[in-house]
Amino acid sequence: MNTAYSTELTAAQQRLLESLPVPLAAVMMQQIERAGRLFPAERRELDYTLESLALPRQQGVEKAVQMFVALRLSPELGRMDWRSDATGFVDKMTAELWSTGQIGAFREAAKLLAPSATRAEQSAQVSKPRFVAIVLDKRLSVVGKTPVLFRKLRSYGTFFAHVNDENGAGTLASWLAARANAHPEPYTHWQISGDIWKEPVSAPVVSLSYIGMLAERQRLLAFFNTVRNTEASQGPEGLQRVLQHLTPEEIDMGAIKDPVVRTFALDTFTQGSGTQLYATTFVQWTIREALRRAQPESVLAWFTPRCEATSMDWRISHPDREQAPDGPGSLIDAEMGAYLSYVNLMRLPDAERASLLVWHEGYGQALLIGTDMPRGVESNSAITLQRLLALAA
Amino acid sequence: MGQRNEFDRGAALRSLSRREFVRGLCGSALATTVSSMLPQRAWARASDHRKVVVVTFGGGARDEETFAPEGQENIPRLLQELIPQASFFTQVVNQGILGHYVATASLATGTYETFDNFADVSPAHPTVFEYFRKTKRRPATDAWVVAPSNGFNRIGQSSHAQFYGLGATVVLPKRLLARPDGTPAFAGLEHLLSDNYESPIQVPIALAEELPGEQVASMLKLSLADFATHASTLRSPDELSLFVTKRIIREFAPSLLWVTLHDIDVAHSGAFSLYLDGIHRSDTICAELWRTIQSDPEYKDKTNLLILPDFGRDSDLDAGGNGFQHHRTGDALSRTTWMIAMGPDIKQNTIVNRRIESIDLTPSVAALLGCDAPMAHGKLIGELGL
Repeated sequence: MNTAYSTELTAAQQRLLESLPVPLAAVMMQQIERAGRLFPAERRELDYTLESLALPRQQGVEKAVQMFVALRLSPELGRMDWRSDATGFVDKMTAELWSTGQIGAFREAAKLLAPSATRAEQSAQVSKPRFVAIVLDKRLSVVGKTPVLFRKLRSYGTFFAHVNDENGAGTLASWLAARANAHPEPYTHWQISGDIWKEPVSAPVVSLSYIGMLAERQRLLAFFNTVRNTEASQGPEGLQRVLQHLTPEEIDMGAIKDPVVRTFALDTFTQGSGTQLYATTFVQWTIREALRRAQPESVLAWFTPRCEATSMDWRISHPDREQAPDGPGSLIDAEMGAYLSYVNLMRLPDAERASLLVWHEGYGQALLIGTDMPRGVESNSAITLQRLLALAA
Repeated sequence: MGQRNEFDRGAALRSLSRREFVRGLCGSALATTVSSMLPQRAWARASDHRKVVVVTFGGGARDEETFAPEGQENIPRLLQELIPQASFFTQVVNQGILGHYVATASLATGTYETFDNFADVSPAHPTVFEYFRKTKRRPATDAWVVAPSNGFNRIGQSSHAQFYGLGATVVLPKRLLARPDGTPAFAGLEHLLSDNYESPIQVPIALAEELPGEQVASMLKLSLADFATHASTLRSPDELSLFVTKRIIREFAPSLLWVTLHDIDVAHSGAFSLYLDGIHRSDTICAELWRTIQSDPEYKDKTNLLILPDFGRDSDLDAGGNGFQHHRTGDALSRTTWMIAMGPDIKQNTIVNRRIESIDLTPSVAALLGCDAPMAHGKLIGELGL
């Protein structure tokens, strides 16, 4: 039994975990171990899930527990102590569930358990409807005529063909600051960019950017390079194990002062694929994870050009060299990123009140989805960005 | 049980959608009985003269980006050139591990292999190459595999004792351009050395299992320098694979040729546009390969071509995934894919809506070549004229 287990687990939690089927107990143990690095919304979910697993259980929860009971683990895995190394245990268990064809059953059980956590969030107060504003930088463009933008999103909201704003960045910064000042709870308002945020951020806004974390990314890529050139690297799974235990201090992420955000930023690079290499992937994945984990009220995200494609090997060997930007490719990436952000927003509690705006800075077109916005409709009237933001506020 | 039913519904829905998309586009007929599926010449097939080319996509492409209306612009050649000449199987389900090497190995053995996807190991069960070579007493040059480098060096030969030394000749084109340690041997070709999109690190492969690059080049009647010169005109590893495949066809005309494309798997980087580029290239390469087959007297009208992804990719709507980027959820979309089959033994312009499994490929390919695959768990696909 490790220190974290003995010091962080309450007696009641310990009794509860011992009463659960091992696959579920290990997963819950892993989450409890991470509790100190979780956002408030995640902690509420964790508490609620643990509470719902205590006896007597609701019917759906009991059914999920029984599905975990039905999973068959190998004797080798049975001999492993999930209490002392929950992460390592879950890692091996996942591989075994895939190879024995039980991964589907595991997923179904987990999905059945998830609604109880969702109810925790539904009971939490969301003071203001969520709003995600996404900007497609003017450098995301194609040669020739204006492309048809936001195709995947148009059926969900109103398309605006003429959106004018001489100072879009300023308008959006003011909008975010107003929302943050109105409800200055920690981790409730985010700004995410593929470039760098040049203006200092007001206190209650979490601010992350791809270029702003250039040094950290380079150190991480150098770390990858070192690990893969180590004799005993043990391949992709060995690297994964190393990354699971990597701390923000090891790649010097001290510039991010908040420890929870610092760990989140590290997770973005170690758990996200392509986030270390492409600005568009970084922005899309960070929006996804911020929504999923922190469940914020406001997100301002700015898609900027990613570099041209090249081999991962080359990028890792040359962490300090970026290829030329790929504007047309980045436009396609960002459009998909906006769509996936909408899908992720719709998964959150209170989604029916949420809004999403996506605005192309260069083409002056936007799409707004919100409670009162007609769907599948196009407006050819000129409108300002400020007015659009107010429409869904 | 409930989980299986839900999966079956998901898989069937994918199948129904593909059927409608393709039927709407090509006016294809729906095969209903075995007799209606068979072209007349299938019954009189001389399998000894038959050749089979298998193309797998290591990195599935979803309907949204292919057969659905919004995706059809990405696969014009599959839709307009190949499918009208093919039987299109709308529901090919992979029930195994969704990692590219282990899944492709499962396709090649007809059994769901269960080894670690990233391990440098051979499949445990005999491969279709071994069944073919053993039964027909063919040399190694009559069965070839062209594959990416990320672990596929052992795809041609199982560890099964009864088939020792009967594997395919495996070419990993990237390795012809790289030094033994994987670094580029020629300047300016780094973009062709990328075929592992899931991890920045690979297990070192046992080079003893692989033909030396010089030997492969010599077999293909190319110098490494000429190869590098030609490679410099190509955009991607899959184009390199096509180039090598065409050389193999020209120099050896093997009866069994298996090509694994991998560009699509760049989706793991999260860049949607690069994933679409990969689909475009796969579409072009498949059509080009069919044109090559039909223009070569050794192959024309005696070659069956089978094209299928090893599995799919995650749905946008599954919270456990991140849309197109990965294939980690194990949901119906990530397991359900399709197959295009065409050639002299296969009925043209036909849609097969019946569910088959990806492991049905090996016994069926073996049968097309006049052999059995007795240790495979898959079933014969009757609609291939078997």
